[in-house]
Amino acid sequence: MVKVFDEELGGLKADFMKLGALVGEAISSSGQSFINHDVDSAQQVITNDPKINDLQIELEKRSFEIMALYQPVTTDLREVVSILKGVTDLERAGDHARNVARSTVKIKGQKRLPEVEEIIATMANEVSKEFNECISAYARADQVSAKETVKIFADEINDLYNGAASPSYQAMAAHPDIVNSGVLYINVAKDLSRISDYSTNICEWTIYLATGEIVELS
Amino acid sequence: MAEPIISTSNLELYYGKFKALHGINLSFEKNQISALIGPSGCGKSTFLRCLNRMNDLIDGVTITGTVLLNSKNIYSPKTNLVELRKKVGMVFQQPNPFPFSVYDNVTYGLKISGMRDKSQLDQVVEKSLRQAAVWDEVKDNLYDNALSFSGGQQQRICIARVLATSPSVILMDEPTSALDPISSAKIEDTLMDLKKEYTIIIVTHNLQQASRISDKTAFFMQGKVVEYEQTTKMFTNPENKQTEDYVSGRFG
Repeated sequence: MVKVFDEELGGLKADFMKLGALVGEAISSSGQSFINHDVDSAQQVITNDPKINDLQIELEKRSFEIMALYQPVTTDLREVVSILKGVTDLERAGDHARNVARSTVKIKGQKRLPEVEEIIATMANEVSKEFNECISAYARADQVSAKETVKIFADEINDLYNGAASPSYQAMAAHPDIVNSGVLYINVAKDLSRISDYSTNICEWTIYLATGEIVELS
Repeated sequence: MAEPIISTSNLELYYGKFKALHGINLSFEKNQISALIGPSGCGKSTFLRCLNRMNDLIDGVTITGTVLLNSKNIYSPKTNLVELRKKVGMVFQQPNPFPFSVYDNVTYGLKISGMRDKSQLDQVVEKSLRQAAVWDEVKDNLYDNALSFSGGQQQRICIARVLATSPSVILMDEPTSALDPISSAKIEDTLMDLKKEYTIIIVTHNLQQASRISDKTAFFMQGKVVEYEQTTKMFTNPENKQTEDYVSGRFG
């Protein structure tokens, strides 16, 4: 019975990491497609999003089944709970990556603000890096690394958001013809900022997994 | 921790030369349910029986250390064993009602201690059976043989028999292991109600039962207490690796 349970739990964790990899790929590709004005690549992110949603639902179902059938406790329980909570965060992060991809499609042909795009490019790279660090910390149940990652990235990404949003607002006030792209820049910066928030949540679940403590890192 | 109602200090027990308990130090708070868990032969039932000196009856047993009940050592030569077992009652694994009526079962201890007043006995019978959550099921058949009831009802009649003597502490040795899930659930509900008035120490092999009903849990291994903690902590994030492996079913 323990062997069957270990296999179920091992499979659940492996597929949770797979979901993390799919979302990580969506974040990275959507960011790069926005930076490079690559509509085809953005379209690919949008097309792939249902796969993320389907895997999230499947992992939720399997988590419920494991809880009902095996009543896990201690580390096993924390693993199932952190996955059950984490899949929602991953799926939402995936939705924001899809939004970035949609903005990439919408901004095609609009007037650009290169200085804002430069900040968004930095932000996209940092958000992608932060997300990958968080997933890696979860895989190792490394609470120290989880805390450190949030400490390193959270403020920086907040600053980058303000750095992208302020000049967008100013440009829109001064030049009405920039409104369409200005709104999209702000939306993209907001989406990236939300992805960073979900990465923080994953770090919080990593701490729960490792210690049983529920903490608020942001 | 509040003042314990019952506590042990360096309690050791030998069956002949075999050391079954190794210096157990445990304290149990009033109005709590404490669960004792551990693999078969780990000493948890032996420990439980030390708390009302049931092991005294076994040949070749040597016990050292102290067990304090309300700050008095129950192993003192002055202890009156009948009084002790009224204060520290016990419910066993198999329902063991005496082969006579429900009424006589519940009043047995009181009659031994000299109570004869019928109206007083009637009151105790109703109160005890109500507390044991079996009154509604037996009230019309109080003079039927207790053995004619179901296993779950018999066990609750046995609990009522213990309650009738107004104990401070109730010891339970796997009280639901011979019962079906519905009867077990009724006993568990009963225990949750009883802890408002009594202190309960329960040995159980059913880990879900320990996690459902107990406030604190002690994990025994090879005659030693490996960990004694709040039950929620024990089942979510225990300190000890052995505890973790045992409660998650990986050995034992």
